[in-house]
Amino acid sequence: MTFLEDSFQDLSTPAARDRLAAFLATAAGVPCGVTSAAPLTGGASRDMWRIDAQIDGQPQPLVLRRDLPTSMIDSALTRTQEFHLMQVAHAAGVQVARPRWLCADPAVLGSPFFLMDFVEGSAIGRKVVSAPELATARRALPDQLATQLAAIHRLPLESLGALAGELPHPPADSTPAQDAITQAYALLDSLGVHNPTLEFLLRWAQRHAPTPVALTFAHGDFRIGNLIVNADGLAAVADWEFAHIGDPNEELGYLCMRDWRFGAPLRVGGISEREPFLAVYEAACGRIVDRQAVDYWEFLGNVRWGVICLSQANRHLSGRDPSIELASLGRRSVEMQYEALRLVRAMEAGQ
Amino acid sequence: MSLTDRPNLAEMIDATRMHLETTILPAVKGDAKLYFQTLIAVNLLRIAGREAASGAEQARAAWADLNAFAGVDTSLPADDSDGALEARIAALCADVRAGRLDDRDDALFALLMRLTRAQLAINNPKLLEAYDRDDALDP
Repeated sequence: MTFLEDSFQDLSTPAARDRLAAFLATAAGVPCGVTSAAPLTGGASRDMWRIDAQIDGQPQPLVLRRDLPTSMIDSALTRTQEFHLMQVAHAAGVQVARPRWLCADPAVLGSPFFLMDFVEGSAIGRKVVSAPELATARRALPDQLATQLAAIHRLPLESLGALAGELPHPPADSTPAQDAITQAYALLDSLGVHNPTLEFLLRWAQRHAPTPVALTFAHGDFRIGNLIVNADGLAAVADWEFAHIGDPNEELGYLCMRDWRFGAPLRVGGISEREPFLAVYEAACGRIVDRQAVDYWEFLGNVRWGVICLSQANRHLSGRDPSIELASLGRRSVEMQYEALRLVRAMEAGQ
Repeated sequence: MSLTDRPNLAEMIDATRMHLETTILPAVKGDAKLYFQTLIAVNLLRIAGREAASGAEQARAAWADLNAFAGVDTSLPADDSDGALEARIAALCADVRAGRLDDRDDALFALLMRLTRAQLAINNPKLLEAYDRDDALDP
């Protein structure tokens, strides 16, 4: 793990902007300047900056994405992998900010980073599901998300080249559900947590796992809050660092989790009923979706998020990454636990 | 009864929360990040206040629930300094993971619902109320 050098932690200083401008000039092969750099809020796991650059005299708004001293989840992709993945997705027509330049050398700005085109819009969950000025966007979003998710799941693994082998994927003798459960147990044990509800939920998950479907490419964090939305609807799918090879139903269930509805009632991200959404997805993806499997993955998504909340709190508690935001997540875990218990009850009633 | 002068624990938590809410929050309104973090601090102090007020009672209730589940009648030490409740919870966790309670799903589910609801009442009572409102409308 690389720690940022103090001098370049703040990219708005003249020294940091000069270094970035020098990198851009070499990478782009034209004279470049950096007019301003301002931190973007929202990334709990990555350092994000809005960069106003001059590329060969032309103003170009960019976003810089950089590693923080501690990573949220150790299986997350490196900036290099994330950059290449975004290139593949962009080339395949997925709505993603155009990735521009990668710097894998930590010496330049303290840790690896990449730059992409700035996309105008908001990713703030509560705003996306309720802001009056986004009412038109909310009508367009369900079909757009279903179509995008289908396009992501249809990305041919061959198009990823060597990256396909590097992406996290369940071991050959396991399944996506079993792998997720094993990882959750390992995380709980590494934290020394004794939580009977999480134990029950994981045990239940183990005993009720659905028959696995054909594995596909998966975004890994496809939800309201990671989607940049403008007045017309979806502007870009962001946050690709948890991309992996997995069960496509996992992503459908994940998008339905209560926490990603941000207080709005509709099941799919607070913006759509589930059935019409799945119908559009099925048509675009060309596969029939097992509703019970989506139920299961929504439930397991809550269990995993409940475990991750505890591990996020531990980043603070261990002294590695002091932060009141991280600390507070520890007290949110029970929200996911209660939701998961209720989903168990609903699934058992439905059987 | 406490040896210390007032404010007591709950009162200190509340005084700090009040200070953040009435003095600091308005002062940091222009800084979105700091404002958000201060809101989180206020919320954590609300949780701490609820826990100071009802944490001991909840621990006794949890102990009684565990007794009922195990079919025993033991009492929680008045000052649980040796961590009896924690040890009991850890043993329950081990039993669940090993599958030793697979044949008691219904009783276990009911127990965990009670324990989880008790935690939610401290961490996020508004969410618990919203759930219960929804259930009342659509049981």
